[in-house]
Amino acid sequence: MARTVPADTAMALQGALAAENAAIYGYGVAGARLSGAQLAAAQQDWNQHRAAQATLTAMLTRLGAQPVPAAAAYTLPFPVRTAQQAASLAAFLEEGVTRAYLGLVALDDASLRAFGARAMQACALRAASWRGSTVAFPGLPASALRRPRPSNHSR
Amino acid sequence: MTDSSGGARTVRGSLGAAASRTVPSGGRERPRGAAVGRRRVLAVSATLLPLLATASCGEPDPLTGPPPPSPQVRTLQAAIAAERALVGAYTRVLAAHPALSGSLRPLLIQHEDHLAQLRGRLIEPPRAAASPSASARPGHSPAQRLPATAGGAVTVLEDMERSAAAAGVRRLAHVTPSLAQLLASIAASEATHAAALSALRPAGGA
Repeated sequence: MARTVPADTAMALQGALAAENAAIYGYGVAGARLSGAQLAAAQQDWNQHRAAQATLTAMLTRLGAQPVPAAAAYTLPFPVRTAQQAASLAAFLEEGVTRAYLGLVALDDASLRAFGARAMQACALRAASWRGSTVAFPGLPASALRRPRPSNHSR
Repeated sequence: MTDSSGGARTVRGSLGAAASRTVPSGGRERPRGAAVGRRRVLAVSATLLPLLATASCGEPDPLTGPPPPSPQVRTLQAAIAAERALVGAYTRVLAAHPALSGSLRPLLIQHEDHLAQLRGRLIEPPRAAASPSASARPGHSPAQRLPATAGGAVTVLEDMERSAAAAGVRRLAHVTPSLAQLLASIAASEATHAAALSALRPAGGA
């Protein structure tokens, strides 16, 4: 009855959805420590993650898969008590979502690859904005890079 | 389980049947009129031509030179040419506006990292690589004249970054998953460069 959905497609979409769920929770934590323009930016980014969450949920449902639910709470990578820590958390969350969308870029389907790549750009833009600097390879783990040298350039 | 093995058996079966059908039919029709036979041979040879052409693609032909590069190699070469053009443009803007060094040099270094990663994936004999990339050198067409003002030069770089980020997404279709991920990551980096340059513009114009 169910169309044969490639297992890797569903898995990659679930990975992206799980990262979006974590980001939505994390932005809630970060927002509590932010004010003014930073709070407005966090709220805008939170809305974008909510929209992405809805998109991914719809894609998974269309494929006949059960969208992975959000957890009630997530472990924070570090304590978030100041505005600076909140901005670092936002950058950390965006890096996680960027990495998750990289999974879609590895699929065979060309439109899913493009979808993943565009989502990566949105996440990388938000990450750079919170971090205050750009990186050469958003989302890519160091192990994916061929030579050990390029990382030397970061100051 | 049973379905898939059955499917595989059917495919193998039909391939075998097609092969056994062709061989005897050619032999049986031979004794008929010579004209018909020749016409048939011509028709067959015409249909075989594309097959022969594709079959010979894989092997290097000493008369026509190396085979055309695969889509993967062509995509890689295009991405390398785009990075070279960006590295060239940043280098020239920095030479003309050293005051921009603090903001532009980190971006240039990231482009050099992109270029190194892309070139590291181009597995080709050096001679085969030399001919296509020679025409894509930044010295040729991409070296358009840059505006004299710092603000204008930054705007040109921003436009280049934006189109590089968009082109990167368009290059993902016919490459391996691993190269697609590298290209997507580089495109994401270029999107952030465009934003960084955009934020720089009011200050650069002053």
